[in-house]
Formats: sequence, C-alpha cells, structure tokens
Amino acid sequence: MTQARADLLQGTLEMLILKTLQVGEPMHGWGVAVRIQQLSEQVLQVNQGSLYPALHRLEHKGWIRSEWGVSENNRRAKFYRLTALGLRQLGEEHAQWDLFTGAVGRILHAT
Amino acid sequence: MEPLFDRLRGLGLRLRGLFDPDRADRDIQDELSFHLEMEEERLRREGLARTEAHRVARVRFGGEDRYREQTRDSRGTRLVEDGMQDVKFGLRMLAKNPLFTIVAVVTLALGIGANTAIYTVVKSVLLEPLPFEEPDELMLLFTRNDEQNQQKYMVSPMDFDDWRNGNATFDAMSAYWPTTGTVTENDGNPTRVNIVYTTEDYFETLGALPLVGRTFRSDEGPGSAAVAILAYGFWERRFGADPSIVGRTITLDGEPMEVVGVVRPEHTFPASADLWINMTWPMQIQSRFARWMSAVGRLSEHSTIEAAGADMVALAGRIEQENPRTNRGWTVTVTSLKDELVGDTRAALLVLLTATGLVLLIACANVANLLLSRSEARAREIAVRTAFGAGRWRLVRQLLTESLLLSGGGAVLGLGLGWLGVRGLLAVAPVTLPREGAIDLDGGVLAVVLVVSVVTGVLFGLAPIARLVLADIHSAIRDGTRSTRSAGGHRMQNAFVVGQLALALMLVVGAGLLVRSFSNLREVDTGFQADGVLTAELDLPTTVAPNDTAVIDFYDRLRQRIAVLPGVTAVGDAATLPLGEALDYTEPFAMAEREFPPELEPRAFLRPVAAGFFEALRTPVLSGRVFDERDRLDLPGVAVVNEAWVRRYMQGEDPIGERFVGMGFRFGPLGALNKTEWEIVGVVKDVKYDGLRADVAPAIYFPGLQSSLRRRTLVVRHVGDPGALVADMRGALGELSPTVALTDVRTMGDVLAGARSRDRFSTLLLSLFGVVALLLASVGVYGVLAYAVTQRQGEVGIRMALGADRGDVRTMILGDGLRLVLAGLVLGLAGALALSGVLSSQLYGIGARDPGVLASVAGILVAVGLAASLVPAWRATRVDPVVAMRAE
Repeated sequence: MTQARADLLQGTLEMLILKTLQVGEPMHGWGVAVRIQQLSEQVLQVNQGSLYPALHRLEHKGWIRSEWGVSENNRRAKFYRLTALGLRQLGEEHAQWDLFTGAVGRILHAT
Repeated sequence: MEPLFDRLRGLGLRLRGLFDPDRADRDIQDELSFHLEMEEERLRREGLARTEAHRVARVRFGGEDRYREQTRDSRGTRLVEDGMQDVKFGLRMLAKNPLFTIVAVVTLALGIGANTAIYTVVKSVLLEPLPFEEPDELMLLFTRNDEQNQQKYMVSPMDFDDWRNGNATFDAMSAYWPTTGTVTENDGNPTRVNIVYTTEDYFETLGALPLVGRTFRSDEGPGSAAVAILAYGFWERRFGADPSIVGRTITLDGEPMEVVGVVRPEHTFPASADLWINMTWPMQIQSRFARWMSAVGRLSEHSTIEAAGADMVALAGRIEQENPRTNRGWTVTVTSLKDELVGDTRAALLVLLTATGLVLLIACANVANLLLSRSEARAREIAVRTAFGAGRWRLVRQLLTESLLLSGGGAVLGLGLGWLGVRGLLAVAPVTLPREGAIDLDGGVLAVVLVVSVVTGVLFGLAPIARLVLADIHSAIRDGTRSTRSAGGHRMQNAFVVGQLALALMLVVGAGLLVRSFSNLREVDTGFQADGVLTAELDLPTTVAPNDTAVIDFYDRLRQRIAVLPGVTAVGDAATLPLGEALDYTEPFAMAEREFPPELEPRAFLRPVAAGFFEALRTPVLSGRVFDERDRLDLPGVAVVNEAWVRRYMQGEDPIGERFVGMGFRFGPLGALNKTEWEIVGVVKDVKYDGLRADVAPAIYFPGLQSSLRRRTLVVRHVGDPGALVADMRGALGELSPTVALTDVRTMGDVLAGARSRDRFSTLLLSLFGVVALLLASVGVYGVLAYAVTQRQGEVGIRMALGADRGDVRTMILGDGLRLVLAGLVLGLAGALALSGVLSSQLYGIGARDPGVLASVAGILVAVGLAASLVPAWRATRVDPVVAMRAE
C-alpha cells in the first residue's frame, strides 16, 4: 500500500517536472523546485531533494536533456530542457491524468 | 527521428556513467551543492541568519546523502557499476597478496591445463564422430577361429564374396587390402607409398565424398582398368595440392595408372593410406585358405550390431559346412569401426581423464583452503563492512568475484598450458594414437574450460563465503585481531587437506603401478638384442623382379652387397620384423612322421627370414643350426622352429630331423614359400613379435633363399655411424635397381621403443600427474599448518611460558600434521582399492592392488606430509612467549 502511493507520487512528480519544463526555456533543478511550489501555491510540498533522482531518471529515458551552463548568479549549473520525446510523453500523461482525475471526481461528486 | 536521438542520448549518458563513474558522481555532487546554495541564498534574502539558512535549506532538501545515492541509482547502471567495482576491488585485494594470488592461479592453471590437454585428446579420439556418413552404422568384419587362437583375422576373397551376397543385415560390404608400392617420378626418384586396394563400392560404403574428381565408378570392378584415388596428405606432399593431377597418369611399380580423384583431408581410413586402387581381380580366385583381405560393412537401417553378428555367424556356419576342409572352425566377428579405431586407447585415455579430474579437484581444494586461510584474516574486515551496512548479497558477490577472478586467471594460464600440453602429448604420444590429425583445441574445448573454471571458481569460493558471511559478526568484531576461527572453519580446512592427500595418494598409487608395470615390460626378454641394429623396408615391384626366382636372386645379391659395406657385421632380412607393424601369417602345417590329435590343430606363424637374420639380432640358437648360404632353392627345404613350437608340439622330444610336408604356401600376391617339404635343422629362442605383453606363439622360420617374399625388412648389425650406413645401403640398392626405394629406416631400438610407446605414454603422464598432485597436497598441508601456527601463537606462547620446551611444541604441531596425513592415507588407500579396476587392464606383471606399491606410496605420502609440517613446526618453536602473549 505504501509502495503504491510512493509510485503514484513519483509518477506525478515526473509529470509535474515535464509540465514545468514545457514553458520552453532551460531550467536548473532549483528553478524547477521553486516553480512547482509557486504554481501549486505552496500546496505541493515535496522534499526538494527528491527532484534530482526524478530529473536523472527522466533524462535517461530521453524525455528531457541537460546541459551545463551558467546560472543567473554566475555559477556553474545544470540546465534541463524538454525533448520531443518528452513532449509526447507529457501529452500522454496529461491525458491519462485527466481521465483518472475525471473518473475519481465523478465518483466523489456522485450523490 | 528526434525521439530516437533522445533515446540514444540516454544510452550515451549511461555508458559515460559506466566508463567514467567518478566524473558522473562529481557532476551529481555539483548539481546538489548548487541547489543547496541557491536555496540558502533565497532564505538569507528572506532574512534568515547564515547558520539558520544553512540548516533550513538542508531540511527542505531532505537527506542530501540519500538523494545523492538515489540519483546515482537512477542512472540504471548500478549493477554493472557494482560489478566493475567488485572487480577493481578484487584485483586490488589480489594484488595486495601477490604470493597468495600466484600460488592460487598457478595451482588452478595446472589443474585446468592438465584437464584441457587431456580432454582435448579424449574429445578428438573418443567423442568426435568419424568423418563418415552415419559412422555408427559402419562395422569391421573379422574372421575368427578359436581352435587356432585367431581372434581378428582376415578373409579370403571367396569367403568375402559369399559374405557380401549371403548376408541379410548389411546394406553394403566392401573389402580392402593395405599393401605398399613405389611411385616413380620422371627424375627416377622412387617414393614408397601405402596402397589400399578396395572393391569399387568402398567409398560408397563409407559414405566418403571426393574433394576433387570422383571416387570409383560401379563399373570399375573385376576386369576393368586400375585407377588411383589419392589421399589428401599424399596429394599435398607429393603433388603440392594441385587439382590438375586428376586425369593425369602416375607410374606405380612401373605401371601407368590414371588418377581419378582426391579424397577429403578427414578421410584417413585406413590411417596410413596414400592412395586407393580398385580391385580389378575377380573374387573367385585362389582358395578359401588365402585369407588376406579386410572387410568393412554398413549395417542396414533397422539392423543392429548384435543382429549382424548373429547373421554373419550363421552365414559362416553354412560356408563351413559346405567347405569343411578350408573353413573348419572359422566364424565371423562384427565390431564397430569406431571401437576398432579407438581400440585400447580408450581405457588408457579414460584413466588419464580420471587422473586429471583428480588433479583439478586437488587444485580446487587447495585454492579453497588458501581462500579459507586468508578469509580468517579478513574476517574482521568483512564484519566491519557488514556492520556498516554492506548487504550480505553484496559481500557474497564481492567474494565470488574474487574467486572468479582467480579461476579466470587460472583458466587463461591453464589454456596456455593446455595448448602446450596437447603439443607435448602429441610429441610423446604412441605412434598408434588414433586419429592424431584431428586433435586440436577448439570451441568445444574452450567452452568446457570456461564452464570448468566458472564452476571451480564458484565451488572454491563458496567455502569462505559460508564461513564469513554467514558467520556471527558480533563475535568477529569483539575478537579483534584474534581470529574468528571456529571449530567449523577448522574442520572444513582439515577436510580439504585430508581430501587432497587422499586424492594425491590415489594418483601416486596409479603412477607407481604403471611405473612398476613399465619396468616389468622393459625387462621382458624380447629374444633379440636391439642395440646396433638398423632396419629398413623395401618392396620389389613385378617390373623389377617379374617372378619368384628373380625376387630371391635380388635379395640375395642385395644382402651380399650390404654385407661388405664398412661397419656391417651381420645382415639378414625378414618378411615380418619382430615387434614391427607388418602382418604376420599363421597357417596349419602337417608333418611327415607325426600325427597330431584333431583338437590340437597344428598351426604356426610362418616367418621367412634370410640367412644372417638370427646373427644380426643375436637371437640364441638353442640346438642345431640356423640358415646359411647352402639353403638355396635348388637344395632340399629346411626350417627352424622356436621354443614355443617345440613346447607345444614335441612334448619334449628333439624336433631336429623331422619334416614338414605339403607346405608350398603362397601369400597372395606377396610371394610364396617355394618348397613343399622342409626339414627342421634348428631351434631358436622365442622372439617377441606381437607386442611385449603377449606370450610368444609357435613359429616356423623358412630360409629367405627358399621363399620369395617381395616385401622384406633388412636387418643390419653394424658398428659406427648409422647415417653413413644408410647412405651406403641406398647406394648398394641403387646399383641393383634405381626404381626401388628404401623406406621406414629405423634402428631396432626405435622399433622396440615403438612397442613400448603406449605404456611409456600412460606411465609418463600419470607419473607427472602424481608428482603434481603430491606437490599440491603438500602445499595444502603446509598452508593449513602454517596458518594454524600463526593462529595458535598465543597458545604456544602460554605453553612455553608455562615450561613446555621447544621439543614439545614441535611434537604438537608435527602431531597435528601427522593426524591429517594418516586420515588422508586411510581414505586414499580405500579409494585406490576401489578404483583398482580402472587400471588393471593397463598393467603388466603386477596386480592393481600390489601391496608393495601401496606400502611404498603410503611411505612417500607420510614423508611428504611430515616434510610439509616441518617448517611450520619449526616456526612454532621460534615463538617468543612474551611477544605472543602481549599480542593477545
């Protein structure tokens, strides 16, 4: 049971990362973390560290790609960008998510 | 296109992580550090103090180490990376202990190398199918006559014809007859060749296809023209593998003959064949007495070797009934071609395979023991690693990796040794090792070596694993530098050493028996003196000597010319050389004034030899005289018999003056005995012909001047350089005929060595294995005791402090060693007795359970065991009580 929830969270986190990167410009890990917090209006509080295993996993699946660059405060940082493959994946996950939440919502709102 | 590229990039990253894991780790560290710095900066901008910002940033991040690990794992190469790390670590551990590593690798290499070499030979000789279509259907057919003590004899053309037409179990049956001839080139340089005359369906029967040209056509039987098919080796040697030889004509014994084909290289049956010629004579020739052809048949599809045997025995019974005079007692034996080719090599090779298996076991036990000893020293390291959270599986993998590294090293080195070993084996192999050309290392052998080394690696790796990883870590740490040596570990090591000693004892017993058997064979009285005798074969074609008189005259003149060459003291010739490979003829005989009871059907080997033969070989004349110049064709026939003949047929009476009658025997196309009555003029000592082990059979010698065999071996006793003599002999022969070749020149010593070669082969190898096994076992004893001494330093120190003197300590350690040796001795003797059946067929003049050998080997084992215990015992007495106890 615990395992299943972890998987769900993990999968969800990956989808959120992809969505965050869809904006277009390359972002580093911290940027992604801050953006997720801002967009979710502080609702989603995840350990920031858990972002990195997910980022690396996504990169190895070929959904995002990374490049070392210079950050806004002139430091060496790793920037991530969505790939074409990742965009397609995001589309699929998005649809899945809508299907899922829609179904759950209908059940919860049923009287 | 782009998605594919994205995937490839992912793969590239993984590979980079694999090949440069340090850099990948650094990158992850940098990335995480950057994140924490940014977070800290943001928090400070929000007004937190420096230390508070540092703390909160890390709390929000949530376990830097954990996420770093997880990030690394997410690369998906963890398993491989760990494996490489294991290998690196293993190599480092092995390099730290070079002596241990070298001993272990060399030990394994010896075991694996010996197995590779022997297995290669065994596989090629015993396991590979013959190079013929459906080889299991091929049978050899022999005649057999128990009354005359003939087990595997040849068949007459008339009988063969009846076999071929009357059987119900063979699809095809062919006859062949190996002989020799001379091929002459245009420059007049003659080459002796081994010819095999065959029935025209021979190659179809075997299912052997030609490489170039064709095999015999079905119309190339009796009455057709003779054509030749070349063996691959001969074609290569003599004609430079030129395919245009097909259709050309060669000159064989002065007769032109067309070459119609060349067979494939693997087709080497009979083994020595240089060329095959179709039999152009009808089978209804000569009498049923004339048994000189060999027969090979292919079983029909649903037949079996037993059915074929019964069928042929019934057929032979009918032939016997119709021809009681010629075929009384003659029946047929059917044996598989493969068994026949492999012959008694099988037993010898299986003995060697068993021996190498034992050596490998000993090597494994040794390495396991070495690892065990070392693992005691590493127990603390392992325990600490376990305490720090290294998983058990991870440790097992680490230890297994180390033993696999060792066995891998052993396998590589062993393969090299094995390759050398195969070369060495072939160099000392008996000339009769079957199918020698096919012996080489190949993929199958490599696969076996691979499996053997992995299995050995796992096997000897398991012992320390069981000891270490499953051991109780708490006691290991608590015990500190003292060993964790438990009773279990002790027992396991001791068991290994006892096992090694037992296996070594079994091997050395085998070697000892073979050595004794071999020395028995060396002392066998051959009936001749081999030193200083040169032999050479020649074969007179009909073009040089058209008839019997010409043959006799030619050999007489040749003998006279050789007799006057410098250094020659005696010269003779023989149709069959003692212990040589040529065929020996045995035939019935009748005597003028003597009737033999029918159950003692009188029969003897017929051996035409020229005057001078017995002098050249220094065979003692027991009574009467041997042949000389007087025994010419125009004078009465004379004969000499051997002791065995006198014993068997004379019941102690003096045979001299008795006469053989009705013995004008003709050896097929080879020649004849040219008298019909022969008076016995002398008796000679028994001479070994059919191997050194067999008893000498009754034989009658006939003078070379009264018999006309075309193929003879010259026997020349000489002093001085044999090389010069051979040149002189060639010169003498050349003056008589430029087209006859002198071949197979060897000393009688070589002939004798050839007869001993198979025994020498087994003896040499098994002795070698015995020595290796003994060496390995003594290393094992030494290792265990030496280790025990270091482990027991404290105890020894206390004993000495309490007043034990050095002698007591020495006795204690030696006693430990002796107990191991004695246990190994008992076990090994039991094993040797149990395995005695394996070796008994290889022994001569000694039983497989010879008490003398068992006792002396036991003595050797005890001596070696004690010697191996001496150094550790001496070291124990060097222990300084104060130092030893302080170390506690």
